[in-house]
Amino acid sequence: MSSTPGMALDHEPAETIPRNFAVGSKVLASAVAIFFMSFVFAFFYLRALNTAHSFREPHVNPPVGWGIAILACVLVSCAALEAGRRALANGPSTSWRVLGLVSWLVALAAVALQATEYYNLHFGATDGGLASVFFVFTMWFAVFWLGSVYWVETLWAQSLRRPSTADAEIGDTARLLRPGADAALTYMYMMGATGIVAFVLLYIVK
Amino acid sequence: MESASLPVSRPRSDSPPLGSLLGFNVVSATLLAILAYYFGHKIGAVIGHHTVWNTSSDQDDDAVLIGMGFAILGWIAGLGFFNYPIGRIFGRPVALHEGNEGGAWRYLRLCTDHKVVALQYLVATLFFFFIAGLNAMFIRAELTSVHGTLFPAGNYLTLVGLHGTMMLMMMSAGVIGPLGNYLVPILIGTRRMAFPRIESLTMWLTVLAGFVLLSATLLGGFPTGWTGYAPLADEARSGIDAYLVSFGLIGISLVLVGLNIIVTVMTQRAPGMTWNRLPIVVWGFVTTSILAVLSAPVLAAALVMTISDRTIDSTLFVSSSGGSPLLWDELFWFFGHPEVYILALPGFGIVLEILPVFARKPLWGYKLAISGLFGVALMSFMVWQHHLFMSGINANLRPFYMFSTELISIPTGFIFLNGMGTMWRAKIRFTVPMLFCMAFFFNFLFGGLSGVFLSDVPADTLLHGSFFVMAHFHYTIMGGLVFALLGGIYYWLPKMTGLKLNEALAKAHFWTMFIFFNLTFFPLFVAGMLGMPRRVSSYNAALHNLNVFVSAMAFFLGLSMLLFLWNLVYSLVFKREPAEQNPWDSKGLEWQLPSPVPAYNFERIPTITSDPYGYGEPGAVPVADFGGVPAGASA
Ligand code: HEM
Repeated sequence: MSSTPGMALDHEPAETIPRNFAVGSKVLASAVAIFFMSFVFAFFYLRALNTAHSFREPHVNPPVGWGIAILACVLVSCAALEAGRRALANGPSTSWRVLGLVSWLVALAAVALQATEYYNLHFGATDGGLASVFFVFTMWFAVFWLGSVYWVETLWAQSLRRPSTADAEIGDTARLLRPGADAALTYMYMMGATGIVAFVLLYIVK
Repeated sequence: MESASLPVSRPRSDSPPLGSLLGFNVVSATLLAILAYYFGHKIGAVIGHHTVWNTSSDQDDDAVLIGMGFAILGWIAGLGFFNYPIGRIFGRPVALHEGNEGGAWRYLRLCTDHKVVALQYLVATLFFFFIAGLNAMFIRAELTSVHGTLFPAGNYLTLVGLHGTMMLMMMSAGVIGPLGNYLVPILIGTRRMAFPRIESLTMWLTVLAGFVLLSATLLGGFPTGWTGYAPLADEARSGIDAYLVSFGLIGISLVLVGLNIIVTVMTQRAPGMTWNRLPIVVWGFVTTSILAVLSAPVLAAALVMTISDRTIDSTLFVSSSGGSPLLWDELFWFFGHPEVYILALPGFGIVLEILPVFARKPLWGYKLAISGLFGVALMSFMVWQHHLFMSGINANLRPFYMFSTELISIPTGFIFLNGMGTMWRAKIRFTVPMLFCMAFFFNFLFGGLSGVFLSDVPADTLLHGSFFVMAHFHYTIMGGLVFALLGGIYYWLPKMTGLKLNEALAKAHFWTMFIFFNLTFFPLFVAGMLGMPRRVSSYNAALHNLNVFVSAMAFFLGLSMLLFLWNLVYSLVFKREPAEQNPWDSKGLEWQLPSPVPAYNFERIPTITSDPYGYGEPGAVPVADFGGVPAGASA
């Protein structure tokens, strides 16, 4: 490696990292969406085959109330972050901090509700095709949703730190908060859409 | 552009300080992974209501899988990958680089220098490639006798599965990992990948995947081959858990590599690097990345479905309880066929990048080549049912998939046209990389043509599950991709390491490999036509001589790979002759930089002024303007 100590290299353009966030989050959201589409495919495939007439056993009735509660948390969390992102236009204001916190807590509540729902079901994963898809879909939804929980928390925590730190290569890191929130929202909207699809298929269509 | 100065990382020393052993590195990662496996296994045993270690699937799956989950966490934590994300929970700001200092020690831990990651990838994937090759030797040894006497039949299946899965896993990572990570930033004129930490993570996940797959041998093996078909996978012993977890790790790694490459190329191209000037090898990596991002998640989903069938007793693949084994087939091949092109597309890119250099002519049909790459990528999603012709699919679907499979030979043909057009009337320099590229076309032609045979439903009805299929895909993957990869290694390794490879050994490697590859695999078309089935260690006595011949040739093929290995060790460890900056007289951007390339690649981000293929064109402008500064930092 040949480099001169202290030598000045020119910087990469300031907009590179925000663009990386923007494109990266879209690609990530696409990949995760495809992951969940496989469960959607499994649902329709097994429903169409209905092998041994066991796709939907009579007692397999996912409780709609729980489904609505979980989905509502997911959507409210997205909405709160969306509002917080708008508030971020003027820097990390109090309203951003409040909305970010709300988004995070409600996102966490979605996971807690999902876990509680499992204890209140009257069927298990063994009870046919629908039950199997239900468990595998909702379980992995919760796992990937935890990604949103983490993401929102890091944005929120970063905005609490003052004064913002500068990085030699990327400059003032505080300017990355808004692009970070945009990226998180791309992912969360995809999760929200997936949540709606899951709700419709698993709780309504069945 | 901002103007503050950028600190240049300088390796401190070349020998690993002993104290560093206590830090975050591969040693601590290994220890933590083993410990974590032990605890995870205990917890899993409690959850699964049993307390003994055993290898029977019905009793041990929870323990093994939870153990493996813990081991993954331990491995990642031991390498230090959790430090930054945990810091972020406490509000630590975004930071790009980590672990770039420390000389040789950088190679044993998380490092965000893309050139280090590329070399880590190369060593790791070659290591597992050789293990998989050793398995191939065992398989061929077994097939020297009609009734397979070396291993019990079940172990033979495990060998075949280990060989196939390891080869496919390591080759998926083995091209895009070393060459993609190394070349993409340099060729587009940037200093790093978009997400350097993720880049490093993908490499360490690949290493872990290799070891997890090998652990299948300790867990009773697995009988499914690389395809993991249900319901066998639902019922198999715990060895299949190793297959599921390792393939899952590779799936995640592939998605992340793909994501990184797509983002890097989309957002970090140097000024003047228009899409029309993007080197064709970068197009190869981009198209393969698109395939990885779109197909690997489906594999991951199929794997978690099998895991849930094996642990929480869901019935997704159990047809007596509302599931269907065909669901696995659909999902697996929706990934599995594009997977073949995940392997092939970078190979196409590599050969088309190298040909003009040694033909001393511009690349013929640059845009045709790009449309070929995208055509193959797109169509690879429309052919997967040809793997299921014999699995009871609706017969009316067959003509469509037969037709679409035959159509995919058209964009593939574009790549051949590009190659032939570039070599047409050229004064070719028969260097080792060029020889490998030419062999690629020769071998891939056999692979491709036999594929057209197989796409034909009546022919497939006879040949499905036979050694004909085996010969077909070895001709495409080994004859195509592995030859292209080796061409790429011989071409770029002097740049990557700054050291020359021995040419006489390289030529001996090429010729022995080319001859024995064809002598090993061509006769297998005949064996398949005569009805020799795959994945069975006994066969008709009439085929004995043929198999003995093939095995002998395969052993020579194995020896030829040892020549390659010896060349690497001899040239890079013992001889260490410095490589020139541009030994091939190439116009490529990477060859304008010193060998090895300096820490930050470019002192000034260059302005790209031309594509790199202006060979033999009078007045062709240089590929880039380095702003009055010699290319590369402080050169
Ligand atoms: C020295 C070179 C090699 C030899 C002699 C060899 C030999 C074999 C043999 C004999 C089998 C099948 C045995 C059976 O079905 O009974 C096999 C399967 C396979 N090989 Fe290779 N192989 C070589 C290299 C490779 C390479 C480079 C790749 C890919 C990168 C590869 C991928 C596979 C795959 C995917 C299978 C199918 C496994 C399955 O059925 O699940 N092989 N190989």
